[in-house]
Amino acid sequence: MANTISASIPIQTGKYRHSIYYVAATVASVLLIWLALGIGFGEWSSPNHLNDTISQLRYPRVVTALLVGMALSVSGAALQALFENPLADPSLIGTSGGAALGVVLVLALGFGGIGIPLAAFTGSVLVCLFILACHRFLGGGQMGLLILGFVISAFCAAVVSLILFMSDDMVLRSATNWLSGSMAEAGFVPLRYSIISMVLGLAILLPLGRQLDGLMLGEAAAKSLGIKVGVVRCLVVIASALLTGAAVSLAGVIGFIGMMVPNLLAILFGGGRMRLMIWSGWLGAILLLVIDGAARHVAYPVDVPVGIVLALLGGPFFIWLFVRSSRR
Amino acid sequence: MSSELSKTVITHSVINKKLMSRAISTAAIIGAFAVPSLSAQAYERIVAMSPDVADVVVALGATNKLVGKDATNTNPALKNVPAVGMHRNITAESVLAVKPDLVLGSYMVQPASVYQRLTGLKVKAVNVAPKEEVNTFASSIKSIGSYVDKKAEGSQLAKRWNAGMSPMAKTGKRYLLSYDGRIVAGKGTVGDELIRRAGGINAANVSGLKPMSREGWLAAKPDVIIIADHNQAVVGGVSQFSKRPEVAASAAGKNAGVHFWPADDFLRYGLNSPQVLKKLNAVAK
Repeated sequence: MANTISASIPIQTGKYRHSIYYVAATVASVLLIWLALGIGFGEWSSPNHLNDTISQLRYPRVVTALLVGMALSVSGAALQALFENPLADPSLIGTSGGAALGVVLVLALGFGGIGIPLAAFTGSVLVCLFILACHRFLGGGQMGLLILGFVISAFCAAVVSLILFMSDDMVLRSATNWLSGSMAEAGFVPLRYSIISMVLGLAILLPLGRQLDGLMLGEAAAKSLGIKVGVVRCLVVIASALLTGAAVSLAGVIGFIGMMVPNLLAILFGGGRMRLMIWSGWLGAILLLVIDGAARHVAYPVDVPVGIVLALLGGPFFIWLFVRSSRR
Repeated sequence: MSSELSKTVITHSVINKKLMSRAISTAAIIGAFAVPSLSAQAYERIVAMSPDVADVVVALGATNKLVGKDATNTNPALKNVPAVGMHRNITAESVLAVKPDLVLGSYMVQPASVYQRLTGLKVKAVNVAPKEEVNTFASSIKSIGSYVDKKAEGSQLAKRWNAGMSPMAKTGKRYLLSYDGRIVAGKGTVGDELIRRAGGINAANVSGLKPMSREGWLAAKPDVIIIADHNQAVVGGVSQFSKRPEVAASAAGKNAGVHFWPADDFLRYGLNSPQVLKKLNAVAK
């Protein structure tokens, strides 16, 4: 009897602790969303009585920041496990390069409007599928996929540079704005298509948590555990493409967040990959919301692309990560 | 002692060499960018490295002297003139290929060092408009006139252009000149100067060409919004753009004050800038 009671205490404590985490995360989310909704015109005012026009500007921006941050961070958490590399981020599977190529092609051809997010999504998914197809044909395991992702992304970047160089100034400027990554267009791009793509991506990715934990032990160990490495790899890449493609279609190319958030959580809390993906989604969403809100507030009326702010934060974070791992 | 002396001599010699080389570079820069000393020599093979300069050459009736233009130039009079590269990334080699005796350009030409490079290669290269200013553009018309042997025509054209750029009566209307519905022409830009001369108020509360937040657009309360016409498809045309909450709430959105104009009309000075001023003034009425 006494044994039963003492054994159940840690379980109860663990559950209790997790419940506290969930409650704290929910409260923090609500509070931060409320604060973000109050930011505007270079000041903060209670968002309880926003007029229609301001609501139409702020709500889509807040929702977009949350969705984009979540999608990129979940995707980053999965890809870091897949590549067994803490520096992996969604750009490694060609999504950013593909999206940039799609957008620049569309701008150079003179299309725009809804064509831009659609081109970003299509470019992102197509380049990713192309990398998978090349990998299937050439083989090479995880390292092969990593190299192919890197090389094909670099090729896309070269084509983008060539198109921009050949285009007139106008295309160059439009493309540069888009490539910086920004929430400025929130509200113009219909969210429903992106949400469908993100839900699909999450539905594929989250159940793969255990397999990704296995892959973290190395390809050979994963195979010995009965994990179908090829299938898992393919599913993870497709799901990440769906998540990242949807994110870039909403806000352009935003780097670093997909690398930073999962690393931060892995260092602070560790744990299984599924839990890490869920918490990464939450923290990524909140972090992007906070950074975008702060940028909006500080730079008003200039709209600083959030991609630039994240790149500024990403550099020092990378150095910190490097120093920390080299001290181990 | 002698070694210290030799060290001192060497140090001085190095400093002198540095000063000399700095002086040479400064002279080269001054030569390339200062208002040029006009030459009486008649030039017959001229390259116009930027579209603003080419347009003036055409307007002065010296098209037959042009043997090269930049690839972005769309002036129909220069249809048969070969392109020597793009003004924002031009190389001396491609310019030299058409064997010019004079190369003209403005601040638009990049890299700016191409002027020095051409001068170093014994080809006269002149930046006739080193700054993006009203007065500089007017004086560049005169300079070009002298170089193409149309001094009187150049002076007349510059005078007409200057007269056309005279400030107009104040309308009190608020303008936003935007590149793409997001980036606006703030203080210190060509657009800012054009708005003021057209009698209006620049509603963009930023400096330079900067992306302005949508709430910034809302706070700007523009009466007139002008966007570069090549971005019409990107922003969805007048009807779609006017539906944006921050535009719909403004006088521009309510009173059909959204227009699409060629970007060159308000992003740089050109021979048609006086007409642009009139148009700007007229749309406020």
